[in-house]
Amino acid sequence: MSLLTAYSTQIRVAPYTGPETRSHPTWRLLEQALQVTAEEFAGELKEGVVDYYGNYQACDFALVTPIFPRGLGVKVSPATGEVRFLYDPYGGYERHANRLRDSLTQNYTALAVAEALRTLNYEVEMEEERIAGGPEKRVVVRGAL
Amino acid sequence: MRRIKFEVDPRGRVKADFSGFAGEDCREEEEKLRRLLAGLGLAMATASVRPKEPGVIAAELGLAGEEAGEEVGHR
Repeated sequence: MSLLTAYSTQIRVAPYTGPETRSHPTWRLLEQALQVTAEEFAGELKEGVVDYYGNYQACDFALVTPIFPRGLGVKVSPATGEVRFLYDPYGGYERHANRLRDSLTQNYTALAVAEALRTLNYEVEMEEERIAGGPEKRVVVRGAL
Repeated sequence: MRRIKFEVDPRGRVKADFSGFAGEDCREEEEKLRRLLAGLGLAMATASVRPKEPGVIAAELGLAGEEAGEEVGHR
């Protein structure tokens, strides 16, 4: 039987137990997804974000871009591994912050799917398709065995 | 050949198209992938599942004539 299936997704990385956690596959994927997202938005990875008043808040990762210079912070729950986002949208930045957050989720999902397929020995191809009428993209991951 | 196509939308939702699988192989492969993805930090909750029509599956497997019940041979 062959199937057409739709899923909703949630990212939950390994809970932080010490510096070695950063080499866990889920943390490496998260960093890789952040790097891809940073390239898309001409941004860079930092270690914290600032709020409207300029107050600094350290994070596990932070993505700072020209369209959102305060930065989108990523904090991982030490207890559960839940990925939480920290940012100050005051002043009309909500849309920009949401775009960065969604893009990160999309890139993480696509990278994880590609890695899972490779583990099962599939030949993997990834491509991005722009969605008509907007800046958003669809990521297509194809596996052949 | 087995093929799996995943489409990841801008919200991280996923559509998967499994083709070229016979019998229950598809569900087994899907389960393996879900376990691997969970280990990679991606929990996937199924929103919908639609088995393909027998004719579509037969075409993917290269069995179109037999599955559709067509006679094969010379008269």
